[in-house]
Amino acid sequence: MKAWETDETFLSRWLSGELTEEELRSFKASPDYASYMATAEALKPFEVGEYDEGAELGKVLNRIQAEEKEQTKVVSLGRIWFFAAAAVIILLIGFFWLRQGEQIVSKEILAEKREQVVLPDQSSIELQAGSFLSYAESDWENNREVFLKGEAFFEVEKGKKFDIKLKDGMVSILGTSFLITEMEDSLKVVCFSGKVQVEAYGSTEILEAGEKVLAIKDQAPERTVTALLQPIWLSNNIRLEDVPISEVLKQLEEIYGVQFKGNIDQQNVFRGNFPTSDLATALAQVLGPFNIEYELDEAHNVVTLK
Amino acid sequence: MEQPSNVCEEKTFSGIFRSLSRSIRDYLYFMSGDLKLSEDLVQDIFVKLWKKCKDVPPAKARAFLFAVAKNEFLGQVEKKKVRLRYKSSLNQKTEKEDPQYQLEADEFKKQLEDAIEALPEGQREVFLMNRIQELTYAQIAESLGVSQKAVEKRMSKALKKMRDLLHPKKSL
Repeated sequence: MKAWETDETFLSRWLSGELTEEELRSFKASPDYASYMATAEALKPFEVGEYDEGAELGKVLNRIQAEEKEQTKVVSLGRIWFFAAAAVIILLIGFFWLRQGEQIVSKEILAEKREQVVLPDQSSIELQAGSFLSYAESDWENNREVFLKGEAFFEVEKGKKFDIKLKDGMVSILGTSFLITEMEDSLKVVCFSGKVQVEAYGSTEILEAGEKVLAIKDQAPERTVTALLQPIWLSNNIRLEDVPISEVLKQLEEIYGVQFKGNIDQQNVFRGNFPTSDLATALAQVLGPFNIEYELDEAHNVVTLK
Repeated sequence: MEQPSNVCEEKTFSGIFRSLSRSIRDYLYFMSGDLKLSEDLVQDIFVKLWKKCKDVPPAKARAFLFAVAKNEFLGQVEKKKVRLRYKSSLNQKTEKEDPQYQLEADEFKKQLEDAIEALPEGQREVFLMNRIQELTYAQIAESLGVSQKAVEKRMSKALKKMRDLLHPKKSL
């Protein structure tokens, strides 16, 4: 009976010197012993390879330091704006021993949900979910400049020139509220109040309140008007006070991308709310009070007034 | 001195690096057979440890590092054969200008490498960690996140298999 072949831990206990004297004696007496001994000792002359712990540690510390530097260059350690709409504020904090007294240069915000950003001069930006904004907080007084990717609504305080740099253009604010929507190879700017200047794809447009421009790469910019007073995504509901029905229908057309066909009594004046994300309800709430009958086509493209 | 609650202090971090990095490097090598890759991965793994330093008490560093090391490998790395090297401290002795000796030594090394290759992964890592790195069963168990009993069973199986491969039974 060879215990080393039947006992599951016999050999490991032998290697670690945990066999009883009796077990060890019988193992040593066996003809198998020499070959086990040779196998156990076989790897003794070998190592995996030289390894310089000191040098390798240096490399790791350098990498950590390089990463730290990279992050503190663009990330603020300063005041952080927390908002109820818990958006993610990307911040990496230079804790650890590598913290350096570096000048904090700028701030980056990637909005996970819609988020309001208040700038040092109290100008505010509503960042749409998924949009990215960065600006130099410490140099704000001299340099009102932000970098935007995505979509954002701006309300800018009076002051020096305010520039919004974009991948394919730049919007300079001349005092005002407006919406920028950045897309692949195109850019839409809607001016709600004041004036903005838009430079994109080699052309420059100055927009006044109620105007919008769609700039598309390699095409002439398209200028149109807007019936809206603010971006639809800023509220789920639009409240209007004594607005001619024709204006309300224009807003519905713009929000839902539908077209109204048929005649409507221009004397009707609308006062009330309607939702911005539910066409059927919006139609009922706008047209219902006037007893206007209508039909919505299946594709939700055309509303025929009767 | 009081034991620090995490590994965010440079002294603690460096101490852990000095005591564990070679083990991790060797372990990665046992899994991959690629020394350069293993050394690069050790750096990645310690950078990860640093990033998580607040969450890792020193006593958990070993388990953390080996777990990250293991994850690096899941389905990612093409396994190469583990190649053995003579300890650098033995080089002078083995470089005796005796071609016959050299030949036998090389043949022996090749047999060993083949036998190691033939071990199932679980046995191979335990066997090499114990025989080359000289880790105790308790240390191996902690590193691999398995029980000491499991390590002992694997070790016994591995030794038996190695022995059977290196010393084929002569007819009784």
